[in-house]
Amino acid sequence: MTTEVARLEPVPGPVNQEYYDGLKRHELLLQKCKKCSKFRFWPTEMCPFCNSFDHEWARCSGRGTVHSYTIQHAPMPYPWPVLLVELEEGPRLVSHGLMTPEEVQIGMPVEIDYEKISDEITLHAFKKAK
Amino acid sequence: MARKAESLKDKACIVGIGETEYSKNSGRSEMRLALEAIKAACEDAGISPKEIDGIVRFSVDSNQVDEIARNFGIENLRFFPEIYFGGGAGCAIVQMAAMAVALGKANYVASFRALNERSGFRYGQMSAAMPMAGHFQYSIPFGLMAPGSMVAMMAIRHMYLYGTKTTDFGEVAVAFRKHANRNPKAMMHAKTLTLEDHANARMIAYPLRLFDYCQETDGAAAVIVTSPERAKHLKQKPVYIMSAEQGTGSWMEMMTSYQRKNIEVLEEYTHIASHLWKEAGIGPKDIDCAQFYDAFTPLVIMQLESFGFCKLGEGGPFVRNGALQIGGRLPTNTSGGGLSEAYVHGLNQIVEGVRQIRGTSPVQVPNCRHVLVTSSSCVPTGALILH
Repeated sequence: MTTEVARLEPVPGPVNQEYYDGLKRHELLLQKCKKCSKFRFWPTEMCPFCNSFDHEWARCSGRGTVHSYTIQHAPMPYPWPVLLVELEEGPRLVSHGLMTPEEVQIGMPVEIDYEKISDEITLHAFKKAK
Repeated sequence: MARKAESLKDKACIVGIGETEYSKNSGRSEMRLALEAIKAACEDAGISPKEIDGIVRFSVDSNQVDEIARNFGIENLRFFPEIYFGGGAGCAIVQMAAMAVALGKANYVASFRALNERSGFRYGQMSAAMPMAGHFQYSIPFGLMAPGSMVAMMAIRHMYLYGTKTTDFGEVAVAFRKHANRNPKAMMHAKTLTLEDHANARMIAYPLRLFDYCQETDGAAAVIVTSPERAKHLKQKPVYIMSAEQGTGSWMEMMTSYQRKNIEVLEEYTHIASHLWKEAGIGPKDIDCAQFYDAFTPLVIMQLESFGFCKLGEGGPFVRNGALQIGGRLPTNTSGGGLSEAYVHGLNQIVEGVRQIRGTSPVQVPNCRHVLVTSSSCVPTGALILH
């Protein structure tokens, strides 16, 4: 879906270009350590678990649960749910909640969707899991 | 060669405090504010500003130490580090000063913060000014627009796990406002606040409403630190730095340390607390008055837990029934704090901590012997115990 709101646009850099390239193709890619196999977020040079520099960009399932949330009443179009999603792979993502504020609950299963915010940038968003 | 472990305990003291007025529009430059606060702190101490040989600044402060030294006509600065991380720097710049005088690297160190936060750059509108290239690109574009929203995420988790109520946030706001009503310098001096006012205020980022947010302030505050030997010959009763500590906790990222195991725990303070109590040789029960950094009300509840004033999850019940007010279990933010006195990145709260030990606060805690002062939550930060 395309968002109707003007969103602030991230500026990709060398450490996270593949993450944004993935989102543009509707794939959630996160860094996975080649040595200890742990996923991490946000993108970093080094694995914070085992300090290896070697990683691959691995595709995530796009499924997770709501770890926490807030409802933003300004300046986004009100009210705007922001979720902290704990992915099946472990890391947590701040994301836009595609549901009404009344529907949001901690622990609820969610799945990924995508919002194109400009020609260059697509971001993830999360909706209630089917 | 093995060397005996040293401690900073009582090796330095605060001998001067200075502040400008706190307002929404100072009408003068941040340099002017800094100079006024430092000059006032020197007068309070009974030294000439020309005796200052060390200045410690916030990296985010717009005033450079060489220009300050030039204004005062200081012949030579021997010590001039700076600390980054916004409001996290307040106690740390005093810690730096204390370490310098303890090691003989400076005689009189000024630590200060000066900002036109209300009439100039407003932190609540940071998303408009922030380039989305750093770690905020992973939160702000999704609608987590300002620091309060980032803290709301942690507050909801705390409510979910422990049954903390929004009325508990109200208790914090009301307690500090009552103190501000007795402090003529406080921006909210003339405005009363009830739990009902708090509950009916405009929602900004659920569960946070208007009075859960701190002030926006133009102003400056400064302290002068020196050695106990030098302090003997000065005007004021010295206030000793009993302990001082910095900390980050794990997975630190400014305002959004959401990869931590428990996002509702202010882990940076948990680490600070263990070192702080050990160095001071006292515990939470010995604290007569606390000055908690209070950018947002839930952070006060979480700090009570991190510093061991109550168990994890019991911060909500702790603050009920006026516990943070004068006469309560732990009088807190006696000048009104960031919520109701002024938001000067916590320097005003260090100044108030000094006044409490001197016995000169307009909202004085009787027989106040030990004060805990903290700097900003959710960023690399610090804390002090004064006595």
